[in-house]
Amino acid sequence: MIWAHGLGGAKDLPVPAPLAIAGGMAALVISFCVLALAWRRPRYDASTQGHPLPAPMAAILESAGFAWLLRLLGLLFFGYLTWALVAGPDLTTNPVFGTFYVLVWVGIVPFSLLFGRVVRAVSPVRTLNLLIAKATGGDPSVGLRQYPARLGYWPAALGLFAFVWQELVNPDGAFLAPLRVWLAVYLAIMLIGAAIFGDEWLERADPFEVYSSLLANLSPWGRRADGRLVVRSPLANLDGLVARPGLVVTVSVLFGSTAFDSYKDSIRWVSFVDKLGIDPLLVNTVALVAFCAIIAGTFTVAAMTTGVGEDTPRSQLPLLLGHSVVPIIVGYMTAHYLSYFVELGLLTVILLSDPMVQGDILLGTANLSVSYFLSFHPSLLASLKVLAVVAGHIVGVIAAHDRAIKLLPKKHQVSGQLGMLIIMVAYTATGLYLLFGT
Amino acid sequence: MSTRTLRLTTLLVAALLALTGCGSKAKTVTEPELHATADATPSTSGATVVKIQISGNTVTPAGTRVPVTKNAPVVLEIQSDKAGELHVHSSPEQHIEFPKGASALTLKFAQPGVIDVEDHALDKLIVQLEVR
Repeated sequence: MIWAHGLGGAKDLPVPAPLAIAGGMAALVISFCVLALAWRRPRYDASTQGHPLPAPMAAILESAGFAWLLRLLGLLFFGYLTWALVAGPDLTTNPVFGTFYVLVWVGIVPFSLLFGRVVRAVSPVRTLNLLIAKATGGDPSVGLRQYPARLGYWPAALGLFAFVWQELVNPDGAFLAPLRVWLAVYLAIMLIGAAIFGDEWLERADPFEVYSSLLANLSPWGRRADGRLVVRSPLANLDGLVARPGLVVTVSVLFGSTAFDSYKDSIRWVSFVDKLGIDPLLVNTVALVAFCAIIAGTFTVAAMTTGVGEDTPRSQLPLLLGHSVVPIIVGYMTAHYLSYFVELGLLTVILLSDPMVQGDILLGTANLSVSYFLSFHPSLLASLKVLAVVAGHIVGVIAAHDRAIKLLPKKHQVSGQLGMLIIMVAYTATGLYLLFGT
Repeated sequence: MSTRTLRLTTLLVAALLALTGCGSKAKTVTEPELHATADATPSTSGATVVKIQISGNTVTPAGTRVPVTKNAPVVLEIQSDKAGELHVHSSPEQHIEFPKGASALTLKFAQPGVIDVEDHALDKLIVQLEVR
């Protein structure tokens, strides 16, 4: 991302060609090894697997006090940022920009991978809905009507698109006025929706909560069918991702937008848009939609190109395999935002000490300094990026394999996975090409 | 019960929209101006020279990649029909004004990376410096 004014900074050097090619070859070879050599019986089952946490630890984590502590922290941070958003100056040194685009958006990834459903735990809209319900003597989970199950994650897909559009396409995304409007509309839709449908709405529609909860399926923290809080392998956890309508589009928006972010700064694209002479806002919007649509389309076709048994409708396959895109998203996000998160994230933490940009030292962070270690070690950075993309690919292929042998009849188990394998290798090759070519 | 919740929520939301919805028009950031050494001699050994032409709404080059050695000088030789400002997207960012006519700016980058140089008024990419 380039911000018209201020924070953006230098971008990573392209990944050297030999490294990108090696990564691509590794992805290809490992994929076929998984297909040919891996287990033939499903291995992961989120409803039964996992080691229960020690009782005292589980008691603390599940206590009302701990839940309120996290809510309070979330609300305090939200209040602090609202102050900067409403009363702070329209400068890129206003920490609200870095917090929104870097700490929150990119930070969701590492925090959810480490700690599970973090946004659900700290979400200010969730807490506000809870407080409103308490104040009026209602139940936060009960609304005027039941949330329609067929909507699934569709509202979240739209919300995520609205976010990535604001981040990647809107040229004024780093000014206060558009950010205020975006957040006000977000808050309004979340609170009204929660009043109508109860807080299930937030579970399906809040882009940040849905994103975090999807990624939490790759964390070590899970819950078995018997309700116990457990620690288990991320792959076993990923099996527990509940496929709901709109899942494929949701992951496609996350995935496609990251790919678009890599592509849109390439000289080829910039000069194409320049020559076209049409409003770049329109061209980029269309391109962002196209990137997401291509992912959703190719994934749907690939998941459906298999023989199926009588009890599995073919049209359900993309949904039932959708969880395998989540690790690929993590790989892409890591490759794309690692240095950005470390460098701009640290800068934002420093700026947070002075929300009015007038020299205040409100937090103890003002004296930190930004580490440009990653930028100064481009070979290390490039290796980490390729490793992230390839690792995400491998986890995705394994997750798809385990699900395929659960769903497909014996005679289609190998041939039925070919479509998915090819599309995943294609995604990885494209990802590596974007790292190398831009 | 829920109707009450809804009513309260709507009120709250309306208040929020009123509070945050109508923001002031965005201002341009003014950062400390950087005065590059104006009389750079392009013949300096080891210096990378980039010739930039700005006339009307066009800039040449309009997006090209130039390899640059870190800590070595980069000379931007600007020929422009009006005074303007370059945005150099290094870390930290630099906003550099240039006068009408011919001028030269010398820059140095210690940190590897790809740095976009853009014309502020035209909002166009001029050159990407690939610092290694």
